Amino acid sequence: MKRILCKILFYNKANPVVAASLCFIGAYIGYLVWYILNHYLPASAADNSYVLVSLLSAWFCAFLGIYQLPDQLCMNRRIQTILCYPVEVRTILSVVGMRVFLLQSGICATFLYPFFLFEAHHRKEAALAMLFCCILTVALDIAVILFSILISRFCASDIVGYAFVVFQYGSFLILAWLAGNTVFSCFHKPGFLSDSAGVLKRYITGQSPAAMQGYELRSILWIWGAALTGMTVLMAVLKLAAKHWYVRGYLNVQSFRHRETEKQPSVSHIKHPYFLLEWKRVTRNKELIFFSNIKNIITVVILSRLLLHNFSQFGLKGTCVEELFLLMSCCSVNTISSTAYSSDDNKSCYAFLPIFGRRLFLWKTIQGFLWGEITVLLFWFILIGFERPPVMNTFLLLFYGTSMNYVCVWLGVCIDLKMPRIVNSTNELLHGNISKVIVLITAASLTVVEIILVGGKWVPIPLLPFACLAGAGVAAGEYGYWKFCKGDFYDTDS
Amino acid sequence: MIRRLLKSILGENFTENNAKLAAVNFGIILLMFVLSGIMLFFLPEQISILHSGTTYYPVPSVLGVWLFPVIALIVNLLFIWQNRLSKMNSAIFVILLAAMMVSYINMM
Amino acid sequence: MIQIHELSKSYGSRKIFDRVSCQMESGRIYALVGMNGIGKTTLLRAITQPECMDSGKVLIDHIESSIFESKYRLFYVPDSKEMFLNLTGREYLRFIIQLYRQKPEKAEILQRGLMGAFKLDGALDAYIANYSLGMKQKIYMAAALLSGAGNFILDEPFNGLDPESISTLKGILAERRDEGAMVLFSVHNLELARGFCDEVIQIDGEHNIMSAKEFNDYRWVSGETKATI
Repeated sequence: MKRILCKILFYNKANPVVAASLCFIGAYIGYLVWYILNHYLPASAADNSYVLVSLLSAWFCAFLGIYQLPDQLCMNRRIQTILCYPVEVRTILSVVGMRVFLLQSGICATFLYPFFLFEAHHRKEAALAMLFCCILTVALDIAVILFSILISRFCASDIVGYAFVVFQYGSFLILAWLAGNTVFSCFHKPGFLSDSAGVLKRYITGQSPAAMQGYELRSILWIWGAALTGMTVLMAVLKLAAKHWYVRGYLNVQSFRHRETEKQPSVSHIKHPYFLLEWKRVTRNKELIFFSNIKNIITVVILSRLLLHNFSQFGLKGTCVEELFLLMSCCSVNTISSTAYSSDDNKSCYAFLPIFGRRLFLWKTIQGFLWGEITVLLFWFILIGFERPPVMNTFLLLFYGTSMNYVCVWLGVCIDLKMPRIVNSTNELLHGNISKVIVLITAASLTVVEIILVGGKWVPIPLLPFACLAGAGVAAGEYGYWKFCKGDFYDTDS
Repeated sequence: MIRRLLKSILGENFTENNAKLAAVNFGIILLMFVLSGIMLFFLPEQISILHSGTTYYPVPSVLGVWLFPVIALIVNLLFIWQNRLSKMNSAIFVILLAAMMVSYINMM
Repeated sequence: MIQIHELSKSYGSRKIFDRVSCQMESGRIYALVGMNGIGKTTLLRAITQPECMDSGKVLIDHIESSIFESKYRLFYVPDSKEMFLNLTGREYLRFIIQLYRQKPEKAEILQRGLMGAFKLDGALDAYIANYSLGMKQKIYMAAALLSGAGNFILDEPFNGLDPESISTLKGILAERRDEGAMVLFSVHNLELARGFCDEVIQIDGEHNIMSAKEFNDYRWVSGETKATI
C-alpha cells in the first residue's frame, strides 16, 4: 500500500534508467570531491578531509529536509484527497519521511564512499562518520516535521503560509552561515579539521578506548545516551503531535491560499484587462511577493559577501565591479518574472479566450519589471548612500540596473513561456526554480564577459559605461525579438 | 523498448511530444559522453575544471572530461522531474555541447 | 454557426476521431451526448482550441478557428470551474466585457439584469475562489452571455445548479437562440435536454458523430443516421 500511496503523493515511480543515472552521478561527484579535497586542501587538513565532507553532507541533508519535508507534508494538495480514506496519519508521515531519508542517505553515501573505498586507514572513521551523519539527519528530520506540525496547527490561517516561508528561509540562512564558516575555517584555520577529527574520534567513535581515562569513557556514554534519549523523546512527541494536530494543521495550511475573508476585498480600479490579470496574479499570491522582494534582498546581500571578494583578483578594483555584480544579482533573482506563466492559474483559459499572446507577454514583462525595479532602486539608494560614487557613475549605475532588470525579466518570462512548470503549490514552484538559475547564470556570464573584455583591454572604454551599453544593447535586442518574431508568442495573426 | 523506457521515466507526463523531446535530450547527452570519451585521446593528461582569478585547479583528464556530460545529465533529470520538457531544453543542451567542445579545443 | 471538416484526433495509438465532419447552424440549440470517455470534451476542445486537433478544419461563422478573430465569435465554458479564482466576480465580468470589446454602458445594463436573474448581486465583490460550485457556474455563464459572442460552447453547464437556476439559464439560452445564437452543450442527464434542445448530437462507440433533428427521435437515430447534419 505504501508504494501506491507514494505514487499518489509524488506521481513518480522507480525507474532503472533514472536509478542508474543517479548512481553514476553520485559516484562521479563523490570521487571528484574526494580527489579535489585531497589535492587542494592544505596538507595538514587533507588527512582529515572526511570530517569536512561529513559536515557538508550533513549540511546537504539538512537543506533537503528543511525544504522537502514541510512542502510535502503540509503543502502537498494531494494529501487532501487521501484524507477521506482510512489512511492513518503515521502512514502518510512514514511514506514522506522515508522518501526524504532515502535521498539523504544517498547524499551521505555519495560523499563518503571514496573515503571508505580508497583510504584504507580511514575506513572505520568514514563508516562511523556516515552513521553519525545518518543519525544527525534523522534527528533533524524529526525536529523539522515536529516544527512543521506545530506551525501548521498553531499559526492562524492568514499567516501560516508566511510562517512556513520564514521557517524554511531562516533555517536556510542559518545553514548557509554554518556552511560558509566551516569551509572558511578549513582553508584559513590550519588546526580546524584535525581538532574536529580529534573530537570525533575521542567523543563520538571512541577511538582506542584502552588509552582513555574513566571520565572520557563516561563522557562518551553520556553523549550517546543523551543523543538516544533525545531521539526517543522527539519521536514520542512527534507521535503525539502527529496524532492530534497533523490533520487540522494540514487543513489550516490549505485554507491559507484562497482563504475566506469576512471583509470584502477593495474594489479594483484597473481598467486595462491584461494589467488587471497580471496585477492580480501577483498581489493575490502573497508568497510570491515575499519571495520576490524581502527574500531576494537578503539572498543578494549574502551572495555578494560570499562571491565578491573573488573578483578583486581581476585587478579591477575601483571600477564598480562589486556594484555591477550586486545590481546584476538583484535583477536576476526576480521570481515574479521567472514564474510568470507557471504561477498563472488561468493560463489554460488563454487558449480559447481572445487574449493576444504577445500582449500578455509584454504585460508579464512589465509586471516583473515594476516589481524588480523596486529592488533595483532600493539597492541604488543604498549604494549611493554608503559609497557615494561620482555623480556620473551614480546615474550610470541606475541605468545599468534598469537595463539589466529588463534583460533579466524578459529572459525569465521567455524561459517560463517556453518551459512552464506544473506544480501543486506556490511553495513547490518557488523552491528549486530552474528558470531563475538559468537567468542568474546568463546574467552573470554577461557581466563576466564584460569584465574580461575591459580587463583584457579588448574594449577601450571603462567598465561601467561599457556595461551600460552592453545591457542596453541586449535589452534592445530582446525588445526587437518580441516586436518582430511574432510567431514565437503563439498568436496566429496578431 | 526505448518507448517503454521513456514511458516509465516520464510516468504521468508521458505524451508523444514529451517522449520525442526526452529522447532527443538523452541522445544529445549520450553524444556528449561519446565525444568526451573520444577527446580523452587528444587532451593533455591534466585539464583545468575550475579557476578563480589566476588560480587554476587541474585534475586528470580521465576524471575531468566527464564533468560537462554529468552536468547535462543532472539538468535533464531536473527538467523531466519538473515536467518542463520543451524545445528550449534541447537548445540548452546543444549550447552546452558546443561550450564543451570549445573548452576541449582550447585545452588541446 | 460552426462547421467541422475532416477532424481527426488521436491520443497516442488511440483514435478518437477519424476525419469526421459536421455543421451546427445559428439559431439552434444542440445537446452533445455520449458515453463517458467517448470524446465529448475532446470535440468541444477541438472546436475552441485548434491546436488540439491533429488535422482538419473548424470554421466559426465562416472564419477559420486558427485565425485570432474567430475567438471573438465564440465563448467556451469548460467543465473545470477553477478559472480566474484570483479575481472578484465584478472584476471578472469587467475583464470579459473589455476583452470581447463590448460597449460598457450596454453591458452594464445587461449585467445588472443577469445578476438579478442569477441572484448573484450580493456576491459580485467577493473573490470567485470563495464561491460555491453553483455560483461559479453562474458567473461563468453570465460572462458568456455578456461577451456578445454568437456561439456558446458549454461543457456540462447545468452541473451544480439548483432547479430554479437551471430553468432561468435554459430560458436565457433559449432567448439567445431566438436572437440567432448557436448553443452547443454537453450533457449526461438527457432529461435536462428534453424540451430544450433543438437537436441531439451523439458520439457513438465507433466515434462517429450522429444527430437527431428532434429530441424524441434520439432513440432510433443512433443506429441508423450517420453524420448527416
